[in-house]
Amino acid sequence: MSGRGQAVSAREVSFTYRGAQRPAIDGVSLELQAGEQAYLMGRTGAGKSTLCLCLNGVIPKMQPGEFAGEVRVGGERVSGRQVYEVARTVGALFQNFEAQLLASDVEREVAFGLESAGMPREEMRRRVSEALELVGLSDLRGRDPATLSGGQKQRLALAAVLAPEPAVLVLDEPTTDLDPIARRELARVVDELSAQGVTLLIADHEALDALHSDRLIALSEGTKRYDGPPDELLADPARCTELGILPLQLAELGARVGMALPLEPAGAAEALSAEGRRLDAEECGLLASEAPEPGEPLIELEGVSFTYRESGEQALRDVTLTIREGEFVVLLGENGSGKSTLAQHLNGLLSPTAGTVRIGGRDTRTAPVQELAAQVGYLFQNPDHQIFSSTVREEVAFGPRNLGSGEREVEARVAEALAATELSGWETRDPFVLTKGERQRVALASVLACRPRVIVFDEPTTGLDGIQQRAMMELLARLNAEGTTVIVITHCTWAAAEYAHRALVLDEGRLAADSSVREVFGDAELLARTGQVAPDVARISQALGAQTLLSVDEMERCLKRT
Amino acid sequence: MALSLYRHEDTPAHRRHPVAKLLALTPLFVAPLTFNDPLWALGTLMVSFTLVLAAGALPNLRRMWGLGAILLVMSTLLWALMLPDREAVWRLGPLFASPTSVAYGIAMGLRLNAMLMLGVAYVSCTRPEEFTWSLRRIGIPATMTLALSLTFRLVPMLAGTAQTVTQAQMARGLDFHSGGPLARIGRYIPLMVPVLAYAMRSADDLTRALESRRAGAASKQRTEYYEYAWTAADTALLALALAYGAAAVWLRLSGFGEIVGRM
Repeated sequence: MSGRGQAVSAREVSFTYRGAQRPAIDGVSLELQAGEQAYLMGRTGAGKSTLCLCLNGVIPKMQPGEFAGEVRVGGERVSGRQVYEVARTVGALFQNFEAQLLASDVEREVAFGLESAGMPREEMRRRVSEALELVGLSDLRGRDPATLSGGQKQRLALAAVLAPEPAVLVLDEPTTDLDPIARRELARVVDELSAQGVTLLIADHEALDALHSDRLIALSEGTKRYDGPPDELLADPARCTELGILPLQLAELGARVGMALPLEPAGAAEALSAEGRRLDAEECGLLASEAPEPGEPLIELEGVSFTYRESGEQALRDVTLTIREGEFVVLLGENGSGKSTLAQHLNGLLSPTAGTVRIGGRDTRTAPVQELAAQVGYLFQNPDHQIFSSTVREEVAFGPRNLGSGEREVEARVAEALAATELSGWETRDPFVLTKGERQRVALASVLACRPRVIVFDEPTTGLDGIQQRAMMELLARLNAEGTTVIVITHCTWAAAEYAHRALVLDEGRLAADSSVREVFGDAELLARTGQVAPDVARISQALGAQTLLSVDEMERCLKRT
Repeated sequence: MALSLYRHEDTPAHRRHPVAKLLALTPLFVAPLTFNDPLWALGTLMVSFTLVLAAGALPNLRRMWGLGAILLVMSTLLWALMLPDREAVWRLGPLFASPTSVAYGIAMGLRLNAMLMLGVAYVSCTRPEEFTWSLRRIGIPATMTLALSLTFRLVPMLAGTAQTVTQAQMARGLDFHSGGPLARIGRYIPLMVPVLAYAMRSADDLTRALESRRAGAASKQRTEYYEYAWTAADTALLALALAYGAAAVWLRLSGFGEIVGRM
């Protein structure tokens, strides 16, 4: 699968979706050499996915719109050829990876493309085994893909793309549902493929992953705004923010304390020490005492176990915990550890097969739907699973109407929820034409309008660019400060560390840890055992011999000159 | 949500050659269609039930007991009231029934249930891929079998999406169980819109993904990941199924198992 010289060439490529006012990409040119690994970054809607679709021929072949320019892969023109012909050279993983799965077991899923390509059986077996080994799914080869966790499905979709061993791989947000260890593993796979001569273009929002690539290309409003070494752009937090990239913690810390720090933890603590910076023990100690006092118990789980009837898989094992008023709790754990299953017990969407769940003292098995919805709001990862109205106002009014509020009360609640999510003035807009980040805010507003005491949010940052991720977490933090109890599931460790007070860590359905976020990210053994990774600032503070610090703000506050 | 009714087990029925199972289905379906005497229909039902047990399909059958019950009740009622029978003994206005028409209705209900059981047994021990593989083996073009696979894929995908959407709306207090019929119908709009919108987007994404995985080239050069060896047990299954179907037809032609002659 290796080659030499130019692998991909795009010249002055523009594309306007049918019915759109402006081009999604406008005059983008890029060349990738064989074996080169490039990251494509930028805000949501910057044109990353459109460019990816141009490289594998879906645009213009299967997407109505206006295309201009020329794309060549391996020297051959892409436009005008069938997508399945281009697929001999270009493997593509799409954002909606779940829609790509269609087989009844993992092995057959990976073999599908190979069968279509007419590959001999022995060769197929070798490639299926290698691809599953690469993504760490060898043990699950007989499983029905529908019964896998989100992260496992994403890895399976990737294996299916890797198995034909294409010379060029285009991966559109391949890590959205992966836990930190799986992300790290994917980075290793990507490096291995590059070493074998595979050309990779990866659209992603994670600056830390991009740091190790050969090249970073940043798009903004459909045009190329940066194309060069990753560290050059990522060392500049202001420019990153301008391009919708969440700055690296160490780049930001360096900018705040006025020194150039290595962009990764290795050597950063030494660099700080060499500059005469140390962490003030007294100030660090104060941070721990600033944790808010939790209030009355709101949700109580006692000996909760849950087994899915269809697959027979036991997803929760004897979980006992209490969520108290005013807490900001994060659920952490590897893919398939039971986080979503646990979260769906917190508002009665699932009932335990053993044990009890009580919300406000009521057993969820017997409490009516409206009563639970009024107390605990639940937001699914994909806002499109709930949005159905033609205006933002109607969408947000849906919940309070279900709860029996009068029209005047509904109006008041809608106004309040829209103000809380900074959507005031958007009442008459159509939610379906908003960006994903905006639709997620509409979904949050529609839950807030029910005035729940608790909000459970499954992956609030998935699919959002760095700046939107920060804005969403700030919004949740503000709601929490105003009294709403917040529970989030996330693989985003910086968000967990920076915003949550308490972490529940799940490991194969068991509660492996229930303590403060600071304690969890300070426990190296626990993190290793449960597939978690501490954020960079936490690792540096530990290297400096202080207690675990959780954000750049905390580092800046505690760093003193000796 | 699982994408099919296939059960991941290793019963003798699972191990049979996909083509043997597909070909055996025809004579197996013939037998229940043959008789209209409830006792004989019950006999074919018992054969079908034995096959359900052999395929490890009982859990799937349990999931469908409601459908089976509806088929039995509706069939009994409709045939009892609609079978033209001059010797009708029960009359109510334009409606009439007789012991024969009731027995015939029961036989038809049992017939439908016997066929339902055969279908459940088949899909429980045969993967969708094995079904489409056997179709290709008997000469159906790969593009057509691919289209069929997509149907297998899309129906449960829609069901899975509907489940998530239902949960999302219930989490906002939507109650499907209160109010009159019109109010209840109205409550399905918040389900239909997101499900349809998601289905359309997913269908689009699936088409792109399939093309990118070279599905468009499938009919020209396709190879198969799995090969299935035909064994003596497969021949025996086919022979038994044929004998069963043939015996049923012969018995019926000999005057057994019928309470109503050809109409």
